[in-house]
Amino acid sequence: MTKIELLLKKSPIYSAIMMEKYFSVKKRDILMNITKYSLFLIPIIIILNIIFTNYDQSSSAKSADFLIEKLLGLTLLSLGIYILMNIFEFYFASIYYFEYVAKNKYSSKDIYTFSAGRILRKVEKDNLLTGLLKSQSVGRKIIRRLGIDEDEINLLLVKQSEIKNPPIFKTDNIPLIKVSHLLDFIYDNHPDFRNLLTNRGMSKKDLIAVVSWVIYEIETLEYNRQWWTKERLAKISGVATDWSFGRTYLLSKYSRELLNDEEVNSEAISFSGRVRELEQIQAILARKTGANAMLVGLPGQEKMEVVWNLCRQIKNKTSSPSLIGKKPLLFLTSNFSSIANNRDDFEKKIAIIFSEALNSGNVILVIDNFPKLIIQAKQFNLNLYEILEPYLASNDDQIVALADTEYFHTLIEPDQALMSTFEIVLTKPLLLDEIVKIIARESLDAEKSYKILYTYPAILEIAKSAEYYFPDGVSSDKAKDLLLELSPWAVENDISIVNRDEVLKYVGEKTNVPISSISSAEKEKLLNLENLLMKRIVAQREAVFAVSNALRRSRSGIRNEKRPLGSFLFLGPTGVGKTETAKALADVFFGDEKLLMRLDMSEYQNSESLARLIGSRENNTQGILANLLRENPYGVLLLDEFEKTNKDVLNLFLQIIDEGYFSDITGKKVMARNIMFIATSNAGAEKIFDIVASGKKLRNYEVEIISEIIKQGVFKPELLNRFDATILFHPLSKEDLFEIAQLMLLKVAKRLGEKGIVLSIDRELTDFVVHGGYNPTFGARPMNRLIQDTVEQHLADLIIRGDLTAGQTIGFKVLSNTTFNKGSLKPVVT
Amino acid sequence: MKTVMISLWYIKWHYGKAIYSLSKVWKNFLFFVYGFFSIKLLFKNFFDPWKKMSDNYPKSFNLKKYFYTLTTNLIVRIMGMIMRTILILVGLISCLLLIIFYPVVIISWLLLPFIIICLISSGLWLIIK
Repeated sequence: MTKIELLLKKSPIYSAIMMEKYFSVKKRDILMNITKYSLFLIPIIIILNIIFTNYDQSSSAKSADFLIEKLLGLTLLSLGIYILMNIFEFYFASIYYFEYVAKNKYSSKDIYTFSAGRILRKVEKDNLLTGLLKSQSVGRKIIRRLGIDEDEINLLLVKQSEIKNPPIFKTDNIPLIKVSHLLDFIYDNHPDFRNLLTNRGMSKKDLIAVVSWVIYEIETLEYNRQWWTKERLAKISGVATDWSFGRTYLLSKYSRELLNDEEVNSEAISFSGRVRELEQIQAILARKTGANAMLVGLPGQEKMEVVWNLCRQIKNKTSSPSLIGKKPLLFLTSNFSSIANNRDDFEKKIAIIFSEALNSGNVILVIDNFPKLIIQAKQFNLNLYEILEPYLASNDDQIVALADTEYFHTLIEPDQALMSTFEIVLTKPLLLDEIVKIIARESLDAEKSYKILYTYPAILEIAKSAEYYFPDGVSSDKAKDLLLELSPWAVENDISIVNRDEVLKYVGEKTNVPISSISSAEKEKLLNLENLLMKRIVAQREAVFAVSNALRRSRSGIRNEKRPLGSFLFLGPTGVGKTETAKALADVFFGDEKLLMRLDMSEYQNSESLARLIGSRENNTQGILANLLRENPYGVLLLDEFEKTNKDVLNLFLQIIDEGYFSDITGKKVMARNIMFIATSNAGAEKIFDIVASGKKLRNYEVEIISEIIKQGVFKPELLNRFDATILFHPLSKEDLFEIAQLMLLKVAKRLGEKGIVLSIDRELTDFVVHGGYNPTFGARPMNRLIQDTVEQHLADLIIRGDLTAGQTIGFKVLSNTTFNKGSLKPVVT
Repeated sequence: MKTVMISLWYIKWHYGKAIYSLSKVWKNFLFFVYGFFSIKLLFKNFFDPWKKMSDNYPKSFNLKKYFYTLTTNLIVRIMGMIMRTILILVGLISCLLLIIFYPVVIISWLLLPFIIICLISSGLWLIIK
């Protein structure tokens, strides 16, 4: 006998573990359903047979009797099996122990939990991993949730059969062996299994989280099967509970009975992760005086989650004894506000509603959006506190007011009277682990409805993406919404197992941010980014390399995800390719030059600039920057002439570059973590000119130039330090300009090509553009203007006159090398 | 061998732990019925007016109105008492039935293996006869 077999036999639940081998849940369910339907259908057939049989004819009477006899036999057999299956149900229920969904009922005699026993039963040759891989009821569920497919499991099983001396599971220091202990051991001692997880980016912590999720799933099913338990029976509402309590005629019109809410009655065992808040609320409501709580939190469902959990406890009779039997009513402020349309009406109705709640004797009044009530009272020149004072001061009231954080600070906090009446309970944002736990549990319902399966990496990604890509609102709410949207999307796309990649794909589609795994085409693009950019940008190799490296870091996933995609300060004289680099990047990497957003920072010099960017409450206007980034969460944002903006705006960008987000005037977060910021500036241009003119290498004077800029007070050192890189653009040489002129003319040729006209570009024309357009102060920019004034002007005239049509070729003869205007060129059409 | 072992395990449970578990379930039902008819609450608020319906007594001296209010409030209280008495009785009778039912359940439980064997064997006999 193996060590594991000896261990199995020691436990009092060994018999149940072994019996389950023959009477598994699935088998029991099948037999139970067949016999149940048989017991319903067979008597009907018997009755119909009796009715429609002609007993006058002996032959038909005989065959009817024969049939009835057989059917009766079948009924008795079905009844016997049905009762037997029910007894088995009771048998397993009396032995099954819960870890998560109900109180722990383990005794000192127990050695392992039921779920652990299910794995241990399948262990071969003391190799624990075989038990995990072979156990369908627990092990395989864990494996599937980890996102490991059947082929990998089979391969692992084959490998296990070759192991002669597997590591031995020791139980010395474990009073009760749980599945988490087994998995902990397997992770530490089976490198093949560990590698499967690490290849998927999962750690031991993730594995244990999966175990708790699977055990929770199994236990929830088991818990819901046991309808006869005290907790389950307690959920059934009693009669006459309100016979001794007053009626709430008007209040009922504007409120909802929370004990009937789906969230309170759902079969899933709730976990909101807000135990502290729930305890605080219960303690406040259980007081004999001043039982008024105010739940403050971000807009969304998180406040209601605390209330629903309170209601669940009241309904299950597990709340504080003084709250059992109470009737929580949610006063819907918005419904009330739309009806109460004048001062008298408002005052009168509010007084009646609170009086009804108070006199009823069993109502816990939950006021949704309490600040809205205050605002409406103010609109009628009323002080809400003065109206409510008699009720709030009473010993019989129990009120929970819900308020959004922003309004709490602006409306309630300054009001000392209100603050002294209510005990404040702040709902803290949930940690990622808690959100994962909530989403994992919520996903079970979605899986049931949509017949899909979520893996743990998918759940983890939902929780992370909700926080990262959707800045507004509460993370847990956003994650729940994402889960709700993902399920039908998966069904539409024939996805039965939702893994991390599917989540990333969906989030990518929703946000227009390419966050899925790097495709081969994209990989190619990333590796050749420098070459692709250099096709458009002449001479500025350093800038191109710095930007390319930053993008590769970002897409490989090693960048700091709490900062923007990249942030660069391009320093250099005008017309040397700073803007062109940004444009080329948007085109080459982001796929479209339109993904380049541009803000001319010289327009943001005065004191109102910050308000224009983030919004203004006084003028009721939205921020330009806030809107721009909300509408375009992914791309390049070019901040032209960055040095010209004022200090407040510079400080705003300091925060954005550092943290990857900012808050608009309404306090809502605006994410900039998928944006590449490129700030351009002419600061230090003179110094750059001098260095280059004296033939020195610009790279060696980078520190000196930046120190000079700081000394001049153009940028603060802390701002410059925030940029991923400060890149110096050197002035262009004549050779560079020649190349740029060619690129510019090629652009014109491309446009003409679309009309079927060929532009012949020769050395003579290019030299003309270089000589005429070169300006040491403005760089290559005047060349563009020269092309427009000369080449393009000729082309326009010819096309309008009809002298240049599709199929023809046009070239230019240079007439003068000293004057640079339209007349200096003569068009030659062939 | 395995069948014998499983049968022995089962019999040990059926005539041992199962009776204890069954008693617990029965106790759950008893608590449920007691709670479902709100017996404790009805006793506690036995003399309270029906659904807290009551008139306020006149603030100034008005004998007629005083007596009118007194009568109304009395009627409401009596009505509440009658309703509560009925429900308390129904609840208590249900609890009593459940208590009487307990030995019946236990005896049935003890006989259940034989009943099942009888049902299955007679069913099979009728089918193959």
